[in-house]
Amino acid sequence: MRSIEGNAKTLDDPMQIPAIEIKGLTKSYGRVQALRGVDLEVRQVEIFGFLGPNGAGKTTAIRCMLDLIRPDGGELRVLGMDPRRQSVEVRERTGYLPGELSLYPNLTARGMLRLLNSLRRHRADPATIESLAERLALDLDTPIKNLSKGNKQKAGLLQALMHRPELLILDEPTLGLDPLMQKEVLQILREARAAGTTVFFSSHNISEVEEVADRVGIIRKGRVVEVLEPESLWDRSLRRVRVRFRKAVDPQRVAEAPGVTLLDGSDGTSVVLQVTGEMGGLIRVLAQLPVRDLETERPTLEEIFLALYRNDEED
Amino acid sequence: MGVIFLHTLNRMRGTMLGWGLSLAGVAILFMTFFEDIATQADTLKRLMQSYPPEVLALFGAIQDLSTPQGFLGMYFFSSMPLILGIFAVLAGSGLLLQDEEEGVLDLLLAHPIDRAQLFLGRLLGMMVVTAGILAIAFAGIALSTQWAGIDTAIVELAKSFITLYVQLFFLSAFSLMLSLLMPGRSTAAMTSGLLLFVAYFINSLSSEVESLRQAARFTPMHYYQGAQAIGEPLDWGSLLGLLGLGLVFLAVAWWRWRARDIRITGEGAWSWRGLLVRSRGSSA
Repeated sequence: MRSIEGNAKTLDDPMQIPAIEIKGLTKSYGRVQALRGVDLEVRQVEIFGFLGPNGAGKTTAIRCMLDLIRPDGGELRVLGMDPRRQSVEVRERTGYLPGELSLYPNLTARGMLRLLNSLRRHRADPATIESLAERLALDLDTPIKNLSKGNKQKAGLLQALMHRPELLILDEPTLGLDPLMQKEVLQILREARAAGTTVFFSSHNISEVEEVADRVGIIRKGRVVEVLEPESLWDRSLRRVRVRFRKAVDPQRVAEAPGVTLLDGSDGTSVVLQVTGEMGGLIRVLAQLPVRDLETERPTLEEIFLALYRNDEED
Repeated sequence: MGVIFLHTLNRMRGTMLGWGLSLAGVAILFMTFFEDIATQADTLKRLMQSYPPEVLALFGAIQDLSTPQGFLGMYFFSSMPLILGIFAVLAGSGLLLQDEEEGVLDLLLAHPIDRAQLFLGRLLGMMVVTAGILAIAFAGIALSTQWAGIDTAIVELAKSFITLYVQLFFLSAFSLMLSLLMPGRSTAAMTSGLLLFVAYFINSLSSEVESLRQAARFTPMHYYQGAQAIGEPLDWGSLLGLLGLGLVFLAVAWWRWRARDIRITGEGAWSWRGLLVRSRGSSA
């Protein structure tokens, strides 16, 4: 497996300047407030996952960083620069994958990359392009209109990575990819970080954020509600557990396990539980019972958010 | 800017060849009839005078079909502001918004080019393609007049094309401006197209309908010389006036473009339906 070697230039004092610094960022579209005062700091050379349900403001925040849209208020600095005044410099040192990727359908992937590379004054090395295309299993000579959604996404990833930027801003990078390719992309991101690149990526897939991110920012309704370690997100996250017993048991015995809420236990031979945090307590209780089968189900991100931030909702 | 300019040329080369060769073909076809029509010019003129004057006005004023100037004016240059105007409207309204509405602009502008480079590169590309269409059509007419042995000075013919080019510049600049002021490309193209047709008919009918003469002064076609430029001096006042107004349209377009939020999913867009709903809501 090849790795992304070398890296773009580093800042004079890389650890002092945050890769991305956002204070009180606001943006409205008419009556819709997309961002309601986002505060966020992404350190140099980390993988930062930006997690939020659909419509939370992830894409809007990302597009402000590249001066594609203009915020109504707040402060924003990318690699120590103002994206509005120094948009070309910011983009020079950044690789970006849009959430809704569109490419010219009549060009081949190679033609599209050639065009985009010419906008970067041919900074990308052809060998790097070939190497990444091989890793991503992308045929560069197929017209884009004939590529599947997953292959278009690979072309999008390739254009973001090909010039070895200092900062990668990726909006849902694994969208449309099969599980094996998702793993490969996450590996590429790890290698990029190892080579000195800061990776900022948005996702609504909690597993991939947990797998690769150093820190996670959670955005909800246009505000960053929390920045935390991925592990602590899991500690607080929810699982739905269905347990079937060989004979009827008292559901309350199971419900007394730590972090467990009984959702359904009417017939005694099966229970549906909601478990918050670690599963150890529940497993210890279940070990004393005649368990026939156990299924765990990860709730959707929306469900987790609803449980974690219910109080915000009520406020 | 060079990359954007070359890419624009590359994307529009099919359009350029299609329009240019079609117009050249039409011009060559007409010119092959010139000798026959010229010999029967008086008969044709009498026949045409029997038509209602309003109908004739739509084809331009009746001209002396025995001269190349009259023949070209009647059969080619009189309708060009309308025919090529459609190209100018579509090209102007789609210059920036086609890519935005297809989502590609989001990716292009994430690269190290500033908005000025994109705006100017594309504008320059469009104007070169427009010149290319006219150059192909001009070559068609020039060659066919030479083959037919028609005595027309190439420089005089070129003057007519210059006046046509300025018309197209004006129309494409106007459409570009509308595309950045209105909700979307199709609305801008539709509005510009409608105004183009209305302006063309007002200007054409104004020679017969006196009440339209004042209104015709506000149409760009009123300042179009076309075939009249053959053998006569160029009307520099009209040309510079149209160029100046076109530049004003471009300045407004640039002002809107600089401040624009690049759209990907319609955020920030407004629609006629949305406006109606809002106005009903506010009046309720």
